[in-house]
Amino acid sequence: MKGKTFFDFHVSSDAVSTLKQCGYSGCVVFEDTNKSDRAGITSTSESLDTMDAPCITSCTSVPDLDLDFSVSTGIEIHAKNESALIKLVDNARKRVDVVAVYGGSESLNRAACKDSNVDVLVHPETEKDGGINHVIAKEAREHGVAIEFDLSRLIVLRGPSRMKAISDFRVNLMLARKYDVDIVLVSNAKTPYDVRMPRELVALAGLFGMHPDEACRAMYDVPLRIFKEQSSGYISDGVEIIE
Amino acid sequence: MKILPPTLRPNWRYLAIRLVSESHIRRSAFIDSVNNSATSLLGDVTASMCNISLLGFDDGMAIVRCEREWTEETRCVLATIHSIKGQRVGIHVLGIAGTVKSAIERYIPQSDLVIDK
Repeated sequence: MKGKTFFDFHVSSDAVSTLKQCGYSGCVVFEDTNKSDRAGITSTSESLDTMDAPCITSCTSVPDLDLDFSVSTGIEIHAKNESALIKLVDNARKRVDVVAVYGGSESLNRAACKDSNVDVLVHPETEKDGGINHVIAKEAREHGVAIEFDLSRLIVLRGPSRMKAISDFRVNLMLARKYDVDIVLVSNAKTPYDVRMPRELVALAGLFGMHPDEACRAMYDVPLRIFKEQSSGYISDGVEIIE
Repeated sequence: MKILPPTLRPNWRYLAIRLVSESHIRRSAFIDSVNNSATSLLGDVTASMCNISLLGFDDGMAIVRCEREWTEETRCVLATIHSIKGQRVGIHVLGIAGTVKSAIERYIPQSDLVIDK
């Protein structure tokens, strides 16, 4: 594991400088709704907000960092229903590097996994289960949507709720392995205190049976694939515009 | 009591850690939170096998000892500590070594940590 580089795919802008100290080579910054409301949302997100349900947006203040640390911007879409979700995703796609959809119900999870414009399905867990079944997993594989495993749930929760989180992750991991769905492991750090070293995240992923190699792939190869697919010259696998 | 022969002694690993906190954290509070986190995450049985103990603690740096076979579990235990006495904290494991001396020399050379005998 020594010498490998890692990306944290879901953080808040406050945590960026700590991430760099911890040895990450890049991150994707998402802002939460409350903060955006206070700080004054950028023009792009205003037009999105007027459309429908509140969106979580980015593009606010990101500290200046060296060239060896990449900071990308992401948007997390909270939609009320499937039709609203499709509109919001189409709007968001051109404006940010990473489009994430906040799931939480079976219909939303399925709609998100059916859309090729979506990069990541965030928080698929429902009240009852992990929110992923064989149908959703197949759709996710077909459309290249990655499933996020939010390890902050293991850090913050205690007792029965953490037990449920671990068992949800275990089922989702089993389905992701079976249908070869991409996984991203994230710390979801909102403050500098929430940041953990990459090896800690790998160890936490081991709690629900994830192999260290799989965890490394989820923190490096999958984010790189998503960045590559969103780069300007990319058309499809093996086809690229070279100027 | 007579000390065990070397082959029967446990193999220890020493974790050099950095504590990021809102304000100063007391040593006893840190030990309590590590023990609570270990029993909550791993249960009493596995926590007893990890044998986690704090050897040195000073100014945001610390050395934690655990058994060789249980280093990943110990990392998890330290990672799941998010607040101590109502204050937000983050614990970063800087590295693991086979002796206290090498752990300090390699990972926290600048700190003047005193190790308890």
